[in-house]
Amino acid sequence: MTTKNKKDDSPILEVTNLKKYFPIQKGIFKKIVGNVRAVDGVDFSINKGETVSLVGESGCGKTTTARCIMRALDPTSGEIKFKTKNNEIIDLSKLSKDEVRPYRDDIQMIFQDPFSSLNPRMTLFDIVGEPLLVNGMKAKKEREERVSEIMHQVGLRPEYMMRFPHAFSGGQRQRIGIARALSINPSLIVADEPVSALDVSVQAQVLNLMMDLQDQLNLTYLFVSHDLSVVSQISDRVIVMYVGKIVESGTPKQIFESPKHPYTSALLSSVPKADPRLRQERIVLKGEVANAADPPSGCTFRTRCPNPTDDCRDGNIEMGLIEVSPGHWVDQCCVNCG
Amino acid sequence: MTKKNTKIEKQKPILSVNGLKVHFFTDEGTVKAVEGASFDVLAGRTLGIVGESGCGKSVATRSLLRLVDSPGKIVDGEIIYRGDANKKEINITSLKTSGSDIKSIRGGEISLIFQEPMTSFSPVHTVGNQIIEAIKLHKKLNKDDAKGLTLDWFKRVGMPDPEQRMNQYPWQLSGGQRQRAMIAMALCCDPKIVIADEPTTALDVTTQAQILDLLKELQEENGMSIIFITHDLGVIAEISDDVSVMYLGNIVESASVDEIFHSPKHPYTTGLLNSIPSITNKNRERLPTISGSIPHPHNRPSGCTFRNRCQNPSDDCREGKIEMKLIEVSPGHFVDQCCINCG
Amino acid sequence: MSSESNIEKVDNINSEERVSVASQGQLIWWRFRKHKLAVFSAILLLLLYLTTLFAEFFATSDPLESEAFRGLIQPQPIHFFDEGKLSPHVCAMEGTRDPYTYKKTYKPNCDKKTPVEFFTKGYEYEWLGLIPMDRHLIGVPEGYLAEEHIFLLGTDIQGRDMWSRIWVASRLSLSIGLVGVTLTLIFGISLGGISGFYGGFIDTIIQRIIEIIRAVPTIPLWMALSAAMPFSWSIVQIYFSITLIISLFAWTDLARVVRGRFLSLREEDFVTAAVLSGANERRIIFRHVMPSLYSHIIAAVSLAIPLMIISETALSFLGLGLQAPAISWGTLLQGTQNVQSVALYKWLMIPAFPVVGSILLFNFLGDGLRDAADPYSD
Repeated sequence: MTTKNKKDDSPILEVTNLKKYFPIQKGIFKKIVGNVRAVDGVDFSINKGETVSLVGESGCGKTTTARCIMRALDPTSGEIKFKTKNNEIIDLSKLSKDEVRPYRDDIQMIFQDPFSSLNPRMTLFDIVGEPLLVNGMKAKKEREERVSEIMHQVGLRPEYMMRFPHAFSGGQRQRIGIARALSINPSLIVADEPVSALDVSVQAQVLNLMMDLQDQLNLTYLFVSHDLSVVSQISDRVIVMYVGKIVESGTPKQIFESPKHPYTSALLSSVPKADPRLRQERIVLKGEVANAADPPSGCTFRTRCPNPTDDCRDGNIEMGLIEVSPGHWVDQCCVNCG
Repeated sequence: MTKKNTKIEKQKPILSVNGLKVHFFTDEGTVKAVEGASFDVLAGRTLGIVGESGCGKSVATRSLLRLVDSPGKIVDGEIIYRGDANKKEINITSLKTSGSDIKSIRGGEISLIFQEPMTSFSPVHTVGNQIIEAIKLHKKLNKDDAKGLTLDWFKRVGMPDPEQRMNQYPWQLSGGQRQRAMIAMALCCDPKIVIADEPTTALDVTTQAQILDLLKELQEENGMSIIFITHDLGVIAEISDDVSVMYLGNIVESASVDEIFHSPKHPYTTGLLNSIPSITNKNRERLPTISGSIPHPHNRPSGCTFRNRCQNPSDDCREGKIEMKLIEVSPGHFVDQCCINCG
Repeated sequence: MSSESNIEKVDNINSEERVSVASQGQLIWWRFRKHKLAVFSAILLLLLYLTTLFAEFFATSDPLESEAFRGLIQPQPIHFFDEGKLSPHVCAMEGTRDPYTYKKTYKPNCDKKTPVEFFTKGYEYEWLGLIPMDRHLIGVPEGYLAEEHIFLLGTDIQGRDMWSRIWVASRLSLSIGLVGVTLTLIFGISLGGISGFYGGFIDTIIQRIIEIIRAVPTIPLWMALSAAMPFSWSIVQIYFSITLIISLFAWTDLARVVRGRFLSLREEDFVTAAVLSGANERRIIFRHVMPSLYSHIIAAVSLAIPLMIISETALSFLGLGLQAPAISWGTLLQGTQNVQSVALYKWLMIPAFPVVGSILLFNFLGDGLRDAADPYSD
């Protein structure tokens, strides 16, 4: 998939046909009886300086995709081409755990839970300075300077460097998590639901911070979220996933103002609007999210689609994205049923 | 909604909470989880209580059923329940926490829907049996009738394959189905009030939409009151008739849902509303935020608890000289007195 | 929002400076301090261990000295006053043999007084096996007969002083817990850690071994193992082989705990974060996983020591553990293996009290430690 983009035309990350299956094992001999197809053939690319969001409901594979890119999980198949700082293009999916390590300083992650993602037994200096230390900055003085600089940048007082995380609130901890991710100057940040665990007012502070930092440091974000309002706020491009597959992608304007896929429309209409005068009839989907261990043949959404074509209903159409307008891609089965 | 509005004039609220104080006595000091909360629940309407984590919204509503765990204690205030026009008013705060009076209110008169239904169902009994037991406890019905009623409720809450689901265990149901079962259990004894404590927070948006619609439908059929607790202003706008905004154990503003969203008076309410990202916002626009963060419960500011974060506090208020108290600024719209003029 | 204004906004962590910079150890200590019973037990245990260093100093007579004239004397109180004057003494015990039962009974004869002195000279011993000394806390001046001595807790069948023996026994019995626990820790943490961190095949093997060990009935196995110990071994050799045998079985519990923690910690976000920032395995294990285990280890240890003490006592009682002339609480209790002693010589059961007492103290301490050990639990 290629997209024209305003910021920079060279993709920093290109994911092609990424698959991650989790085997279902049974019995004492751990016989594999099936696979949970958490991610089942995902293609997308992110350009330098862009924010691309993966949205979808729980179990759609958005977090698994992010973790495969981070190589916290080993992908089953597919390519993850990443352009390093030296403009070298590597395929992260083909590297072993040890071979990936030298590139870790270029991709960092922000976690969802500000409590479990910080080691309670380490001071802020140790937490934020860890990526620096393990990537070769051994001199303590140098690390202290860098940590204090980055703490300042994320809005924390450098004097708090020797404190432990338990002294901080959720929002402040999330800032610490951001500082840790940024300390070694990565070019790509994978943010896995970074604001979902925060209260509304804190959420806004952290979102603003992330946008500011992006502008200052020319960061590229892969933003994973279930919250469409947050996504609309921060993204340049939005990718909607359903049961391991991409069903629609495009700019926020395309996705939120003229969604083509019935799933996107249903998602949008389900988001409660913070205005009682805008109460409206919702598109309520029938049934439940398909089982990723045994997805329907053809279009995975056909069992819930309000208006499927005959071929689609019978599962005769394979899924595949087609471009309906520049940069707006929709799954081919559902182009006409949205 | 206009129809409902005319009703209010005639009747007393079904539940009135006045000056409720719930404190937790911990080793590190007293945490004033709820510090003088007052609100009314009107028959057949939905009261939304909104606030951020730690504001005391859950503790306040749990004390309505006397379910506050030690070291928490109701230290002051009254909770007047007027379930039946013919019966006497009951002051829930004066009941014993494990007496028969409160037990007949729990589940029978006022019931509770939790955020995570998995933990409120026992994993070793089928969902159906647990609801049948609840019915038998509160209504004098034999097993077959109770079973019939359960099945009936499973159909009403829109459970797919209700007969089959009755015989399944909680972990065999999906999150949405579990929440439907939970709602069936909460409503099967025809309670007058249902307390829904973040019932949709753990659910996906599409499932959340289904559950919100279901609650509204059931309210129209049964006419019960709902106390809906959530941190999500979108959900509040969607479901409530009246809204109370809580901050650090106090209610800082309460009004009809339209007033809260369209003419908020308290700076905290305004701040919250402004900081919600919205699909209609401009892309990559910075959101207005409330300055500072919620103080640690051990460091509760004196006087107005919001004064440290207020953009424009009056001099008296800044020094913590004004006590918090709700006053009525327009019919049905109550705002904390310190912040009337700084919003 | 500029970063300057951010700083102002985030700046309200004034709750308690002290708590903010407190390390894990300090937080544990603060919480532990609140547990009055546990602190009390900790102090008592500490004193108890200190006294074992000076066991001979507390002893009144040589624990190994047997004397037929004074077998099975009942406990004898110290009289502090003599005719209104402060003059500590004990009354001499005069034994008469019952002509029908041939049972020897002792009666105090307060006409014959044996003075009791403090910090007196007594039998000679080597303190910690190094320094020759002869001072004792209490004792009888030189020149008195063996039966004109002080028997605070009576004597056993061979006329050995129980008071002195209990003190000396505490050294072996209490230290076996520490030595055994050290071995348990080494086995438990390394095998449990390997099992949990690497998982897969190694994990399966170690788990099966643990299951097999736990399925073996312990007493017959103990019997077999102690029977296999050569008679010619010295007390020290037997002592170490006994601790080895006990800890060979005790490590499985700790290994399971450690494995479980490793498994769950491996999935923690902060461990993932460290992996993703490029930390190697050594750093992950020693900087992130192990420190999170300390609290569990402390709690496991405080529960394992009493188990060790009980095991030693049980083994020795059954005659499978330490053997005379070694003195431990278990070997002392061997003397109570008959109805006679239970019925007639009740003081022979006194060594059970320090066993019960020390184990209770360890359990109280363990309770407190477990509550305090995870300062981040709430």
